[in-house]
Amino acid sequence: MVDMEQPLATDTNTQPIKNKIHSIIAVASGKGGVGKSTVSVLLAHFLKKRGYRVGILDADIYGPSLALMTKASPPSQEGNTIFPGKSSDISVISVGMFADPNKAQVLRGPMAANLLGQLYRQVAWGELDFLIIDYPPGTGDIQLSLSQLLTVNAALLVTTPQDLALLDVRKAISMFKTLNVPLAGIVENMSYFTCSNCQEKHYLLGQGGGAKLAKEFGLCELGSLPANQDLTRAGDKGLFGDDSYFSPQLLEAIEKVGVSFLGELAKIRPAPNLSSFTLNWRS
Amino acid sequence: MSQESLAIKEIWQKNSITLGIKWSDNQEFLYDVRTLRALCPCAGCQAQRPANELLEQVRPKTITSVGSYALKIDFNDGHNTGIYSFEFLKDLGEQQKKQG
Ligand SMILES: Nc1ncnc2c1ncn2[C@@H]1O[C@H](COP(=O)(O)OP(=O)(O)O)[C@@H](O)[C@H]1O
Ligand SMILES: [Mg+2]
Ligand SMILES: [Zn+2]
Ligand SMILES: [Zn+2]
Repeated sequence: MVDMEQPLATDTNTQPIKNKIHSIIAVASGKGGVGKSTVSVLLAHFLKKRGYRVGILDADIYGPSLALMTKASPPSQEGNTIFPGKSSDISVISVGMFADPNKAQVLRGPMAANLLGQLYRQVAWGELDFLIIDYPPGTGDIQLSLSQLLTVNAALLVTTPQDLALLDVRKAISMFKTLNVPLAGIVENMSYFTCSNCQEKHYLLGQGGGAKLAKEFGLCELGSLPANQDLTRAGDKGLFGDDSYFSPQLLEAIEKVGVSFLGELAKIRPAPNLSSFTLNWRS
Repeated sequence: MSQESLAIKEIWQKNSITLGIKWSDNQEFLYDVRTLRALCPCAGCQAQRPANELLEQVRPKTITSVGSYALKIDFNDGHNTGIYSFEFLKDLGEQQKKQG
């Protein structure tokens, strides 16, 4: 554990780490509990399956959950350099692995962002096509400072039908606009459930809220994900890497979000060609 | 066509027998992995084509990039000597598309 009063490392004895990260993606939300971490991990696995090299930085100091959700191996440290944990070849670093959340979440915005920025810089990510940052929820100083500290290439917003009506989402959209961080779009999470009786999609809180909001702000609605117990369980047990765990309908919904995301991103930032990859065939 | 060399933008497993590739010119093609095994460009297979009835069950285990010009496919029938150049795969995709 890192003593919160001390910086993680002083600049003088930090070895410059040679990382090459093509795109930094912020996964953000107006408030907590809407599925930001779930979407981060689903997106990471989607990109991984498409041959990209992917890392995730869990920067949610209020509720870091990615160590559990990904069941990543623990990170290791040599001097000031941190080697990320791994989960199905995805590099995982969570602020929860390094800082006591009880102390971290009372830090003032810029301090907290500093802590996260230092953590980010100390990690030997190597070469990544995507680094996904699971943002702290909300639109305060932390999110502002963090977006300036790291060069975020695009942001993806996660909402639920419940919080669509709330001001938080609009605030988040305008924050990224102010920061000049392009928004790749909105994912509406837990927006329907597929009924086990009639097999139909039931929209508990009305349909199309996300699309309406997206239209209002000129954003892309990347897709909606159902409220599905398999997703909750996958989160609890770290099973996101195992496709056989999900129904074809659910996989399709996840794939749609991923494909739309790549499509939108390509408009913002042309995707790199793959330079080196291994695709493991799933039987 | 531009002079830029051919590269892969995305590669993914679509289902148990289909490989998807998005090329650097943004064209997307799907490949039946059994066809890829049947068309293995290695010298051994050039001399003697694998028997058709063996191909039905054949699947890749891993697909790995070779430099910046080709793929190497390790098949579950133990065969792994084929180097599939991007050129070859792109042509194959275009041919298949023409044939519909
Ligand atoms: N689509 C979904 N269906 C069912 N449960 C979900 C879904 N999305 C998230 N959850 C569950 O809801 C809780 C909050 O999700 P999480 O991804 O941790 O949100 P956040 O990171 O925004 O706080 C977790 O227990 C998670 O497993
Ligand atoms: Mg979270
Ligand atoms: Zn029903
Ligand atoms: Zn051969």
